[in-house]
Amino acid sequence: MSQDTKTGVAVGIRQRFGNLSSAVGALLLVGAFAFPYLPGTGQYEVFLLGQILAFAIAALAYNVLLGYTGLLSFGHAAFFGGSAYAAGLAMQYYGMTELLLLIPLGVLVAGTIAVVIGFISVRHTEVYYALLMLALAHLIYVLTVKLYTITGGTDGVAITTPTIAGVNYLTAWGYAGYLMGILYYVILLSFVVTVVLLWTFMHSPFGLTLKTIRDDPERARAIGIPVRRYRWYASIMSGLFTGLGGVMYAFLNGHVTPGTVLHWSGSGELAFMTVLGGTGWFFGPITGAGAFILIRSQAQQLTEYWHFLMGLVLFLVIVFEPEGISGIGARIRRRIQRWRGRGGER
Amino acid sequence: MVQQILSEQLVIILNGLSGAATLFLLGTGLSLIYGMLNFLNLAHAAFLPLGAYLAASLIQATVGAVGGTLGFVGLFVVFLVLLVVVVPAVVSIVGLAMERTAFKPLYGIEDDYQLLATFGIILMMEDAMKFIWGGEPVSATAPSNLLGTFSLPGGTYPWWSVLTILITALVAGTLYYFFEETRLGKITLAMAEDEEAVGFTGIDTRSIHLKVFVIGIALAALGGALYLPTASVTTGLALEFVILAFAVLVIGGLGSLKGAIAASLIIGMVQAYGSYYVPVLELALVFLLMATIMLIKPTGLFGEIEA
Repeated sequence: MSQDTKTGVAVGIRQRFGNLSSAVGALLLVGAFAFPYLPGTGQYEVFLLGQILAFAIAALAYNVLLGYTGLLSFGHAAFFGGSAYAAGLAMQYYGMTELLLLIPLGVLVAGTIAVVIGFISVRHTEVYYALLMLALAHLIYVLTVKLYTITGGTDGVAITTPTIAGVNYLTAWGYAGYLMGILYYVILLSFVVTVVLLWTFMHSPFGLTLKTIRDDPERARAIGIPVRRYRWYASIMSGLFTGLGGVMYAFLNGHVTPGTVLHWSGSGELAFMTVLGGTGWFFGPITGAGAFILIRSQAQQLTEYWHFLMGLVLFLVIVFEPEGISGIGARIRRRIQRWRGRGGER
Repeated sequence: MVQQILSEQLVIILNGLSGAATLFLLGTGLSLIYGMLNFLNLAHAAFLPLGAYLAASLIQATVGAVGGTLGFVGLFVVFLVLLVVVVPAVVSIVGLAMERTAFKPLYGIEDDYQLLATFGIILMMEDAMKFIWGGEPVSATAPSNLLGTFSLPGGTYPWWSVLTILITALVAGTLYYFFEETRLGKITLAMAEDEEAVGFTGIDTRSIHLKVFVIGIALAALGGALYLPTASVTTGLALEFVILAFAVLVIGGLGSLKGAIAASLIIGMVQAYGSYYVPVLELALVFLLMATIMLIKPTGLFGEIEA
């Protein structure tokens, strides 16, 4: 086989797989839109998928830093929880009930937090970036716990059902109708918007610049990229979208506490989802969030000690497959390719 | 009036010192293991609650078995041996077993991934402790009750906390002597610079590696054992101690013993004065300080290595 035909075969395979994966993607998307109407789908399943989508938004955003910029953050709970709290407190104190206003509010607050703590944290890289983010995010956590007269302390804030475009769907459709009818679709739509926007950003010159910085910060600096400033931009972008995930989670859950959304272990869980799915693939964090929520929901039903299982999974992933689920996928793909390369003979 | 103020200040300073003692025992191990062995172990902080839980079980068993038969001195000696010798020894064995199985595969991988993998390990350790000792707070105040309290114009103060401060000061002095004066200490410092080069001189770096690791874990366990008689231990405590341990690490500087002493004293005092004068900001001040030090002096107060 000549070199040319070999390349031709490789391109052919790539195209076929490329088409296959976009077909799978389209099918999954249609499935997600039809999900509440599929036979056998109840409130719990919709709630679970909604949760997966909310965390997938945040994990995709997390990967802008971990996978594309090469920065590990232990401070994302501040964005996730900051946004959730902003929505909750705005409802409680200012009587804001309009979801279409509360979402941008949450995202904006998360973005503001990211502007500030990102600006400070990018003064360092690697572990010190992670620890600086951790310190600053934990500052927000302890303040939220201690300023209980305003924030409700460890009891958290109840998130009442919002109106959407002025309509109170809860009274119109009841809880099941609200969850499965409108809230789920708001979350799904936010997810789709996040995927499209982040995909565009990550495949634009901006995204490529981030990758350059990840691969070799010194060289990036040498060719004139303002490395620190781009790391800051990446932190802000990551913070904004993590905030979108956070506010979605808040409305889905109906209640936020410092322990569930602001504690540093929440940042660890986001990192976990991202690594579980694979940092090297754009869609990896989505599979990671899905796998994380599914494993967790099963483990919670099985045992009180589900943290143990989650910890074990994280440990095993890092030791045996640091590229996560997408790494396993790549292995299988390579094997198929090798098999095809041999003309389909074993 | 003056006496009142002095007594208030004395209580705050004692609180600061006993807080600093726990922080020192917690943070030194993390700092030594990261600074010298280049292993960033987020799960390190879990060895403190492990020591505390173990101490609780041992104290309760002892009180149940021989509590009435021993005199004051006998019981005190038994408690001291249990908390200062037995607990650190047992936890060290657990730590060694974990080093073999869980930590060894993580040596040499990127710091970031070490952080994540050890995050997994601390989740497992938390649940293992919850499985053994249950989800309710555990306490065993017998040693503190035995020593009693002394009175100040403002109230009473437990002698046990004073003892904790003294024991920790002794430990800090011993460690300081060990790392500054002994051959092993010097080898350890050299290993922090270049482990491979030390290996070429024929020194068994693996065995020294293990020794530093065990010292670090034993310190954390001792911290837990001394902490327990005046407090209680519950699930989730490990996750709270993680951040305080990191605060000691970054404020003091990696692998620096002097730094760990200074950092724990500073954090202890900030917490003590903070919780007295501005209780709302008690912990916030600590993390504000941590962030400030990282920005102004990234190597920490006494560190030479920047992460």
